[in-house]
Amino acid sequence: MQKEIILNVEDLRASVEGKEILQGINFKVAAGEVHAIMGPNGSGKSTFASVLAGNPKYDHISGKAEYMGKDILDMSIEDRAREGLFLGFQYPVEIPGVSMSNFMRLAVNEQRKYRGEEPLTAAQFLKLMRERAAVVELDAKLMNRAVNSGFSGGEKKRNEIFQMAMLQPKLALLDETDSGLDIDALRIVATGVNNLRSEENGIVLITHYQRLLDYIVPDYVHVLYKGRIIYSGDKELSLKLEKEGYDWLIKEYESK
Amino acid sequence: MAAELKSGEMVVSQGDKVVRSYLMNEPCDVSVVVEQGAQCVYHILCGGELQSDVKFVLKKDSCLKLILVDVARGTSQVNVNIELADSGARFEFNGLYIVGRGERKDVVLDVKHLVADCYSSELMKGIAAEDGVGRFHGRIYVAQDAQRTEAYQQSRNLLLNNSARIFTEPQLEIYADDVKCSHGAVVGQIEDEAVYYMRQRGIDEKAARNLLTEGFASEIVWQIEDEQYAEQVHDAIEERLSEI
Repeated sequence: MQKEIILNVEDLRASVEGKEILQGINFKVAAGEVHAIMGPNGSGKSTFASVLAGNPKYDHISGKAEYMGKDILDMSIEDRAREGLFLGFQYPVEIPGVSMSNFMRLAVNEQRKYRGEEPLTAAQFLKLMRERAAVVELDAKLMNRAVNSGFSGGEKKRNEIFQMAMLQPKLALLDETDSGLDIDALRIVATGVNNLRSEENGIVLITHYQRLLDYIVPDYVHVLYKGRIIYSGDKELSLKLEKEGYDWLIKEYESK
Repeated sequence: MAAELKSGEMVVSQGDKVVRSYLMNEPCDVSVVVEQGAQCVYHILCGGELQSDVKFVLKKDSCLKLILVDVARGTSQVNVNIELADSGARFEFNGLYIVGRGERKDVVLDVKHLVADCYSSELMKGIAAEDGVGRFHGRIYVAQDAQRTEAYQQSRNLLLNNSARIFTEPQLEIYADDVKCSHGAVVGQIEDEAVYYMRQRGIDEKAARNLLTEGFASEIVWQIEDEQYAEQVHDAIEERLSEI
């Protein structure tokens, strides 16, 4: 049986402040797949995730990005999210004065409303929040604190995975969720991601390090360089990159 | 229940611990003496066009926490006068105003450290929308004999659009040499990054902006030590923000 295509990106080009960062990306995610995108600094990894999420800082030049068969580049940021696209931020934003629980309740209920579902009652929401916070071993006390304010680096990253667990996205883009984590936090984050992994959804891990991929084993590994995917392989590729770096790939690419 | 604040003199008796919640719906001239060792919390919610004077004199080792919220429609000015009149007195201030179309709000806070070993800290927050004009004038006066004074002032402000104006005027007059004093003022706008983050979770832009603005105000509401009154203030803020 043909697997459902969640994301289909063709020749996508995008710029920031007039500078072209994505120079023709082709990328496909089918249901049940985990993809890792690696590559040297400045190759466009975060830009790619941001463009898919709809960050207004980036301008779409040409090419297409279809999500569940719809052109997402035409959709508002919030509608992309409500359609089940989730971005785990590399730098989660602090929101003083807005408590985690208020923020999440609004987010969950806005998404339910979009799908024509009744809002969760306070009791249902609390129960869900406690369950999901436990998955990433996030202290329930943090739920009464302002979003990300005064959270440690590790707590911020676990909070991203907690939000993902609350929202149960169809497609999760995790932008360097592993950077800055110690080994325990990394294991916790990976457990959270693996819990979400299913035959119905897709996960894209943007990472610098092979070590995350020891915990979340990807089906495909891609190398992004100068705004293009220059090489794709399987898990073995990330091991080779870990040992040998990107130079051999870049040389091969530039000689073409 | 919150009482109406009327002109006149009040006393917080020696050693008393009180929490008093008021609605200031008309102009008034109030004077309060906080006697030795007393600890009190005063909440004042302004309710309309007015110009009022509120004065507190703090005696030895007394403590006053004052929360002033002016989110009513209309133009108003509240002058707050604090005298730290004997050693060991402590004053904490949390203030919030919201000013909208065609309005002006002034808060003038004058804190006088007259003797040694007193403490004061102030946080004033302003939100201005449309062509509203807000002004906070905060003076900290430290007399020559008021050694080992600690006095801190923060003014944090949010402009909801380009035609709104906020003036924040710190004024430190320090005549003693052994003091710890600081002041800071920020006037900013809602951060695009925060709006983007919230929208990425499925919250629409307007709701995100409202939640962020409410969040900015809520830091002051959290200071209120009277649950029922805090709810009333919260509702007043929410109602006001929904109009602007």
